[in-house]
Amino acid sequence: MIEAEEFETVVDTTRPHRLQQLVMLALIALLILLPLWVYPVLLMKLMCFALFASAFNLLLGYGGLLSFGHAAFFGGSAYVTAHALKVWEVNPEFAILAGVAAALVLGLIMGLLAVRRQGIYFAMITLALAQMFYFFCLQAPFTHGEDGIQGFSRGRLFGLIDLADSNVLYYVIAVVFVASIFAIRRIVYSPYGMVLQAIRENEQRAVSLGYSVQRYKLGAFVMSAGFAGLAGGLKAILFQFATLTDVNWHMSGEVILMTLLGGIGSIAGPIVGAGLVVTLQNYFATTGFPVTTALGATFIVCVLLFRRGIVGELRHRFAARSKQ
Amino acid sequence: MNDTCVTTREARGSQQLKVRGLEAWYGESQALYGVDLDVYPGETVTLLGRNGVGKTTTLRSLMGIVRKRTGTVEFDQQSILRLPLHRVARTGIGFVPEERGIFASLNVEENLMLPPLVARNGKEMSLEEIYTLFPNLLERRYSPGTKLSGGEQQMLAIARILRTGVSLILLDEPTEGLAPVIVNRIGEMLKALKAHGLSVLLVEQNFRFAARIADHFYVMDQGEMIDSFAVAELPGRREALNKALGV
Amino acid sequence: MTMIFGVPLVVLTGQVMIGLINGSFYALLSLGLAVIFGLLRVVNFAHGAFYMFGAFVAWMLGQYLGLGYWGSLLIAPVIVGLAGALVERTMLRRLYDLDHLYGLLFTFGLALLLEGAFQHFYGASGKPFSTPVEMRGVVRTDFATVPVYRGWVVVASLLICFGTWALIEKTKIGSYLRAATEDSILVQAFGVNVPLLLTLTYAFGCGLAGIAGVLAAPIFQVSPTMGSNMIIIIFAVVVVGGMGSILGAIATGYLLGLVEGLTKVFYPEAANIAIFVIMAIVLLLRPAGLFGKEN
Repeated sequence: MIEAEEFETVVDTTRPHRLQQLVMLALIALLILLPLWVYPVLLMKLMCFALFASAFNLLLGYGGLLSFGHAAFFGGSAYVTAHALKVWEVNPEFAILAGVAAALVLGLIMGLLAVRRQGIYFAMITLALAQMFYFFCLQAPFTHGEDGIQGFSRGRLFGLIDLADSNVLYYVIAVVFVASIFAIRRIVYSPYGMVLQAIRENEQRAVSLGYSVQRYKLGAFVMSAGFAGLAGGLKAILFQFATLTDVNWHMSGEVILMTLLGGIGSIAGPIVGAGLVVTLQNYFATTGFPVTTALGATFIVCVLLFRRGIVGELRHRFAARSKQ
Repeated sequence: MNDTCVTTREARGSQQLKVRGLEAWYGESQALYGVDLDVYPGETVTLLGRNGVGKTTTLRSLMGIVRKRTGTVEFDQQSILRLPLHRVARTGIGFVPEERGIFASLNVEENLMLPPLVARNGKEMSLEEIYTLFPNLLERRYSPGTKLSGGEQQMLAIARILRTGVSLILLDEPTEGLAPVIVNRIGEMLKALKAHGLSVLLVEQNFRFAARIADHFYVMDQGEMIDSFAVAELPGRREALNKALGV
Repeated sequence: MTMIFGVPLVVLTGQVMIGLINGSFYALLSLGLAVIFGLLRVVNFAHGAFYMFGAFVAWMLGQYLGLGYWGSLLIAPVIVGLAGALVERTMLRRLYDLDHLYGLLFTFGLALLLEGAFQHFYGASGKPFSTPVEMRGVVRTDFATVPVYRGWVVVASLLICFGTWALIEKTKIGSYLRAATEDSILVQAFGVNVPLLLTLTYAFGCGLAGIAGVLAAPIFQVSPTMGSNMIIIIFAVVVVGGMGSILGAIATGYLLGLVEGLTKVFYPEAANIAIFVIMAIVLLLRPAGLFGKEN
């Protein structure tokens, strides 16, 4: 079993703790004020990847399913969003909806195939299917091959709010981000989420209790794909391009690393992990040290030395101390 | 009578296997509590007890398959508790697991030849000797090991340990699920081992079977050793034993 | 000119040949993956990286030591195997008691690390690797034109696959491997040094990938990304064939190579994804794979 943070799922069901509520309010306040000190584009990028990792974690951390193909949803949605803005010239909210819809459909197709096998096979199947999608994007005319889709404007949200101003876009993305994290949290603590975690803990038992395990897994897969698509669509709007990079298997690997590094199976873990990985990438890009090698090394260290991830490790220490 | 038995046991020399205060854990849960046990050279010792009291765990802990252990385990005056698993067999201990451990992807002869020789001390049996002793194994030498009947598989499991030249065999419930005729044959086999000078530590539920071949008995309950007596003391122990074994 | 299904025979046989070549690499690589997985229960994501590493070692041996193709074919796989042994001894073995996904994640990290490093030091573009002089010719017959080197690759991979099969099924050490695949603890309790067996098996599997890399070098050039492109296809092959059987892995490798080659004749646009499509179909019809024994 992948080491997820199990106690969180047992202790707290639906209502957030008073302290947790305070922490959340503080974090939201921080989110509002941060652009005063930090370059908003970087913050937006962080939020996109944090949402992507949270979507991935919904599947791995709570469903126990390791997908090696999440780039397909992220990048696929980015393409559709960009195409909708550039060619169909719709409002950004519809462009993103189109992107998410594409990710959901893709998630449904890939999920239907992948949930037929378990464990490592699931991982290999998702990887292979995502690669197939990559080849499709490489050859399909609307993605413009190596050039990608670029040269479109962000448009006006609801036809009113001009997103060209990065400070405006920042708050739009922040709202979507916070709402999505809360939605994911809601799913995790819902009865559906509980069954999903029960399946992760012991699939046989869940089967014998009469749960349609494959349907639960498929549900988690599709939802995870949808949120990953949302992240991809936001990213396409933010950077005003969509390229093959986002559908490449490296991207699937990066989102795994973000989740693993931050901590599998906690709400905060993937957010922290995404922040770290993006920062690491930015840092190594300036040093000339190969970024891929740095990511690979981080992976190895993470798997060998702290499988709980940063958030998981902190919690573990905290829990151990409060027990004494 | 008691005294004579003790002297006969010690007349065999010093303990071949000496276990003191053995404790063992499966993960966090403790399974053995301070087990003491001796096997003298050439002796057949039977471990009795109800299901789940730690008999199999004792064998697996001695062998080193259960790794989380404390206490003393000496074999031929050498401590074997900290040895890596594959080094334990090479000190001269063979293991026949409860589920027999016949490999499906190996044929009968490959199963026989699998365990490496641990000693050339005259105790090891050659393939020819084994085939003379078990002609039906010869007949089916090229069929997959698991295609044999339960009794044949048990013989194969014991025979392959005999080939290695070990001086102590740990045998876990060799008669389980076998027909009476086969049980008798296995009894004969164990007597032949004894004549050969091998020591046997046997876990057995079939008390009547054990009574026919054992020299010494240990009784376990809830992970502890609660009794120890020689075969000669058996008649006087029947009642207490029936109570302990719940028969 | 002879035509079959509206395709010139020479074109058809040419594609069959390409299919056989690709199939040779698929077979060699999925074989190694299956051997490793059988005993270690680790899906070796780094298998593609070791394939790439094998090709690079051969290139470096030629470049810096002036070693020829045949010398490299012998030495490079040994070096790759030693690298595999080192990885297993120092890191991989800590993960055996954990969920299998950690082995996959670890080897994925290793693959990234290797690919990134080679890309950094040798650039993203391919290094040319010349075909050995003795094998530069072409064999022409009425119905096919076969470059000698490609013919050699097919023969060599068949020999290696058969040799590996014989090693596992017919030798003493193979019986240790088969038995330990079923119950490694019991085999170790019998006195077999199973930790060493695990190291040897991983090294052997990586060595096989290394051989494939050297064989591939004159055909595909030597590039840092050759491994990651390959491993994803190999995963699809493995999903189709299942990892339970050595012969199954070999057969599936050749079969899918051929299908891919033929797709190029009849529907070139889909050649890249033919194997993935077959994987999807197999998943729908026989979820456990063609030779599947999955627990």
